[in-house]
Amino acid sequence: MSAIITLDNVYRAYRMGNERIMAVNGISMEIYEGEICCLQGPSGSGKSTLLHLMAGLEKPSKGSITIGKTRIDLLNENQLALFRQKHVGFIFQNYYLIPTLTALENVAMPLTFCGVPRKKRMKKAKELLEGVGLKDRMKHKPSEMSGGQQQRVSIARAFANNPKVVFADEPTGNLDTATTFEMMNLMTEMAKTWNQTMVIVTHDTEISGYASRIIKIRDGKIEKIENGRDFNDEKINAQKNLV
Amino acid sequence: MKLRDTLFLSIKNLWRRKLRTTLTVLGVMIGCCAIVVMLSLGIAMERNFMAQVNQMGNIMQIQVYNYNYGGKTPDGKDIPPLDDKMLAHFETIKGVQGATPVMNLYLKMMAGKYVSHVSIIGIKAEMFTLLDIPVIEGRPLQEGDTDHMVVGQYVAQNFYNPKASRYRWEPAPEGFNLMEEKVTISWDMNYGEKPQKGMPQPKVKAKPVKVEAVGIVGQSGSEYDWSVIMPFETVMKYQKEMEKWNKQNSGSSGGGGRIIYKSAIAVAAGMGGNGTDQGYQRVIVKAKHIDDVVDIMDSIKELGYECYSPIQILDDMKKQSAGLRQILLGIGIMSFIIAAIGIANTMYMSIYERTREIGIIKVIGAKLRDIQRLFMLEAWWIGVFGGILGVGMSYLLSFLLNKFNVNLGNSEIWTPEGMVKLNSSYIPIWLTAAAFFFSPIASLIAGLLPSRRAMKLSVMKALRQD
Repeated sequence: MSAIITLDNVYRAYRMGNERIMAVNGISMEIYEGEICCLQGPSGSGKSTLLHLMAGLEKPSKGSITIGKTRIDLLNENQLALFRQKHVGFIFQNYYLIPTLTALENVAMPLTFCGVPRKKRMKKAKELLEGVGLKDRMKHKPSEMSGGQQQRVSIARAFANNPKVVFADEPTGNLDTATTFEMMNLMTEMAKTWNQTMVIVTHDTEISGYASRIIKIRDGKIEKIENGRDFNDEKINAQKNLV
Repeated sequence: MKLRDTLFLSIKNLWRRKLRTTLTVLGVMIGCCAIVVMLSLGIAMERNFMAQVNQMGNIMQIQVYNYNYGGKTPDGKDIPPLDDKMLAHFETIKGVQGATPVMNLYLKMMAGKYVSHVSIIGIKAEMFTLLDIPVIEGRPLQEGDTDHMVVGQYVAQNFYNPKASRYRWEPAPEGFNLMEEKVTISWDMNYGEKPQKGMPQPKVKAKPVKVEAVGIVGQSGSEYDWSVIMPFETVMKYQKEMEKWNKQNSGSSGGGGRIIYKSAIAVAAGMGGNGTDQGYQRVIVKAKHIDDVVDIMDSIKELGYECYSPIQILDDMKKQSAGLRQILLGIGIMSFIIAAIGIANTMYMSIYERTREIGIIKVIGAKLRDIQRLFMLEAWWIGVFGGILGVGMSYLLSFLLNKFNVNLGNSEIWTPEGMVKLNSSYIPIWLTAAAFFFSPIASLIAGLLPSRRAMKLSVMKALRQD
């Protein structure tokens, strides 16, 4: 398997008052193409920071991060924006939908920034929403939807521009167990269908069942890397039945 | 991101905060309206000056006199005679539409049984229309006219019947119209009068000339009202005839009155003691455009002639009112600056509120330029709506100002059409266009700093904000 994301000795320091905190303290690792990788760790372990660094939302204090063939730590903000537009999708714990736009418009938003004509992007957004099972919720505003429905919209949005990598930051943190499995099934299925790489940050051990690899983080360092059950169909089916 | 999408999204964002957006738009509207109305007051003032000054004589006409003939210009050159050659030179000056010599002659006119002394002004027939002499009846003088005349409207009032009574002159009746009479003129000042006892008769009788009145001048407020206008060459011919006749009668016991007339005529005709070689005493030069008048006057003055035009009065009026107009404009600009600050404030507020949203759209691929444009266009929309409403309100205010006649100077003048009320506010088309154009531009400038701030927000900080 070839690496799609490569981190080489990455550090990220924060200044809190007079104290200097190493959120990411010398991490080197690879994420492989098409895998579903889970970053696990207690809160404050630096797993979220690591995700933000990989996604180019933050710059490392030291070290290099490569996605595909691009050194994203060297890109300026505009180049990063373009890079995100083309290659990266995001799913957040708080969904981060734009409250004034409908589900359909929210999903079409990344395509708007790419300059896709209105008709085309609306068609694509419709397909995606149908794919996440929100066929009859397209004209609803986020405030008119449940948490699970909002997260579905945000998943659809993350896949809108066919990204190479989808980053998910505690995607199920605000959802109940049943919905959690629902979401995870949806995400992994979509990623599998489009052969996309997924990096999920979570402290939820249930989710690890979906991952091909689990990277445990503690105090800004990699504690250990576990191989996941690599799509244990049995287990997934069992969870599906649960739902 | 496509411009169309950005436009659409920005207006949608604006509409989320209806009250705040409306208030800001109102601010821009008032600012825009203030500038337009203040400017319209200044423009109306200037137009009114122009109308008033035009009453004093046409502002585009320059009277040129050769008072200084025989002298020297300040740089030591001889002042050339004001002759046809010079006239042709005047016509080559940039901005000159035409030039005509002017000649005055004082003769006796008889129409039916009525007579009158009339002052005749000779001008080039083809220049008649250029001089903007208002003709209310008949036609103006044309090229090819000879013994034709256009009569000032008050000329008829001076006619009287010398033979009606022994003791008094009977004036011509009301409605006496020279165009309907057979008119003759003569250089004998006793022409048509009852011979007085003891008054010697001239040796040679002056032969009267038949003339035809082709038109009547309306009220022009100038010398034309009381004069008869005839082609220059014809007046020149009369002058020569008169001199010849005077010579024939000189040495005789001709009336002293005639001798007085003779010298008066000579002066009036501009043919001073030195004969005709010095050219015309007076020339009218007509400018094509009002902006050219001062330049033309300057170049004529350089030649050593005296010039006069009402534009000098206009300039004085403009200078005197410049302070007031500047204050008006200042008030307008100030209110617009306040409106622009309002825009900036609204934009900052809106960015503060939407910090997280800015973070989201940055994460999902909005370029820095997209974000800046998004907010710039919000400001732009405010300017567009404010500008449209502002111009609308300006027209309304302007209408009300004119209707209730709030004035900043003389508001009424007399014209040939009677009393005319002058507008206190006037919005020319260019001002409307400028307001439509300027308001969004100024709003864009006001939105520049806030939108830069939105652009520079750090993604993570923006996302972490509640």
